[in-house]
Amino acid sequence: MTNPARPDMSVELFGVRFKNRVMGASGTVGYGLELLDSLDISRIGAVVTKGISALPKRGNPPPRICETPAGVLNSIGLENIGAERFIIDVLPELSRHDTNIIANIFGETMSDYQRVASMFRGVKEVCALEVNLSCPNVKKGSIAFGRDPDTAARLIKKVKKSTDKPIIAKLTPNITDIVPLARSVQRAGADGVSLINTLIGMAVDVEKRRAVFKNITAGLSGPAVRPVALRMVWEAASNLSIPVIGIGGIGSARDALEFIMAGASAIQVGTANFTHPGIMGDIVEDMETYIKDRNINTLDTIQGIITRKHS
Amino acid sequence: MKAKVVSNKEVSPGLFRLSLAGGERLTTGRPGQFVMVRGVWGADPLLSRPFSVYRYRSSIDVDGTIQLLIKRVGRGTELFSRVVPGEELTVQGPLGNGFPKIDVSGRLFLAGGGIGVAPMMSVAESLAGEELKRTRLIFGGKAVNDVSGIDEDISDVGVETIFVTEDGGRGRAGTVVDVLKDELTPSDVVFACGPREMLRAVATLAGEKDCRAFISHEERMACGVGLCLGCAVPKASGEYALTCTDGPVFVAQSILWEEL
Repeated sequence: MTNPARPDMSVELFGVRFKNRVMGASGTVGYGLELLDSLDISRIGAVVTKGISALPKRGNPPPRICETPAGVLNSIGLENIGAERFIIDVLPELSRHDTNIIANIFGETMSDYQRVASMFRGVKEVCALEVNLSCPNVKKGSIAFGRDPDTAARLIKKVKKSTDKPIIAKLTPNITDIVPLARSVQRAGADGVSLINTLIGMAVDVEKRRAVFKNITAGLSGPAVRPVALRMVWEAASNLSIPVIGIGGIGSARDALEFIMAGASAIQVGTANFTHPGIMGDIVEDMETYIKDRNINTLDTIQGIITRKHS
Repeated sequence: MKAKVVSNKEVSPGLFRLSLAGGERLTTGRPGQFVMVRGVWGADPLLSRPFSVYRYRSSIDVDGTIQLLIKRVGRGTELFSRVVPGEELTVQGPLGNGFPKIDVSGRLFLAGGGIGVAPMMSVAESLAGEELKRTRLIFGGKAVNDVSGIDEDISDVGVETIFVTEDGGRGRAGTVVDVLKDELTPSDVVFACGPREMLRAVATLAGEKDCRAFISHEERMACGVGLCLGCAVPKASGEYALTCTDGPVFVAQSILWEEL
C-alpha cells in the first residue's frame, strides 16, 4: 500500500532547515543561475556555489576537461569572479529562488580563507560556508591544507572565528585514512563535513606524447569514483557526530540512497549535472517515490542503516 | 529533449549525415550554434558530445529536423555513426551564440577545413538573393575524401563552392588559407571553422588584409551550458571566455592565439 501524503523530505543540519537532502555540488552548478534553463532550483535542498575566493581568480589554461571511462578529469583551477562580485552581482538574483545557498570558499593562505569567510559575515542569503580543503588543481592552498589533520584543524578554527555561519569542511579523498582528518576537523569546530572532492588522476595523449593537462594531474569525478566515495562517507559517518554530506558520482535516487544508508545526512550531485542538467529534480522526485512506495515516513529511518550495522 | 533519428547516412568514408527530429525548438536555432547530444549508452562514454548544426532546413529529410555532420574519430562519434532511424537521442540546444548577422559590403567567405565545413553550411542556407550570390564556400582538406560527401547539400543550398586540397586531388591545390590569401579584400568578411592552426592563420591573415573575420572555436566541454568552465578560451583582453556560452563564435583577433 502506498502512502498518499507527500512525504517530508526535509532535514535539519547544523541549525539550518533544508527542504530535502539533495544539493548541487560546488563546481558543477556554476553560481546556481546557470542551471535555471534546465532546472527549477527551488526543487532542491541547496545550491553549493563554485569555489569563491576573496579576489577573482583566472583558473588554469585549456585543456581543462578530459573524459575517462565512466568519469571525467578536470583541471579548471578554481576560476571564479571573487566574493565581492558574487555578493553584489549574483546573490540578489540567486536568492530570489526558494532554496538554500551554501558558499564554497577557498584561499591560497590561511588569512585568505579568513578574509573570504569574513566577507560573507552578515550576508543573510548564504546559510553556510563550505570550506574547500581539497581542490587538487591549484598549487597553493586548498589540498595543501587539507591533507594534514593538524593543519586542516588550524584552518577550520581560524575560519570559524571569521564567520557567523555554520561551516562544512570539504575533505580530500587523496589521503590514506579519512578518519583522523574527519575527526580532527570535527574537533576544530566544523559543523559538518562533505566528501569526497575529486580523486587525483592523470591522462596522457599518446599521439602528442605528453600529458593531456599542463598541470599533468587533474581531478577525477563521475560514476567511476562512486564506490570509493561511498566507502569514505561510510568511514567518516561511522566516526563522527556531525553531519556528513556525501558526494561522488551520484546520478540517480538509488545512488543517493546508497550514500544516505551509508550514513550521509545529505548528498551533493556533481558531474551528473553536466550530462543531465535537470537531473537533481528527478533525483528528489524518485527519492520521494522510493519512500512513499515503501511506507517509510522519513529518510531518518534508513539514514546510516549500514553504519549502525557495522559500528 | 528527446530527438528521434530520422536518417543516418554515410556520405563519404567515415563521414555521416545524421538527421534528428526533435520539435520546433530544435529547428529555430541560429547558424553556427551547436547541440549537445548523447545516446542511451549510460555512463560510458560519460559526456554528451557537442556538434555544430549542419543544416536547420532540409529538403532531403522530413520537416522539423536538424542535420549534423559527424566524422568518425573516437568512441563517441563511432557510436553516433551506428545509430539507426527510430532510435532516440538526448539533445540539448541549439546552444551558444552562432555567427553574427552582419552587413557585408564585399563578399562573405565561409571557410571550412574538413569537418569544420558543418557550421558553414548552416550559414549558407540562411542566406538568399544577393547575399547568397556574394557568398563563397571554401571547402578544404588534405585529400579528396576530406572534401567529399556534401555535394548534394551544396547544390540544394545553391552556394558557390571552391574546393581545395593539399594534394590537389579535388579543386585547387593548397589550403583554405591559400585561397583566402588570393581572394580577400578589406570589404570582405570571413567566417571560418576548422583545425586550430587554420583558424590561427585566418586570424593573422584577416589582420594583414584588414578584414573582419569570425571563427568558430572548438574546445573540449563537459556540459555545454556554462556549468563546468571546462571550455575556457583565452581572450586577448587577458580573461577567459567560455566556448559554450560566450562562443563558439568569436571575432578571430579577440583570441589570444599564443596561449592556445
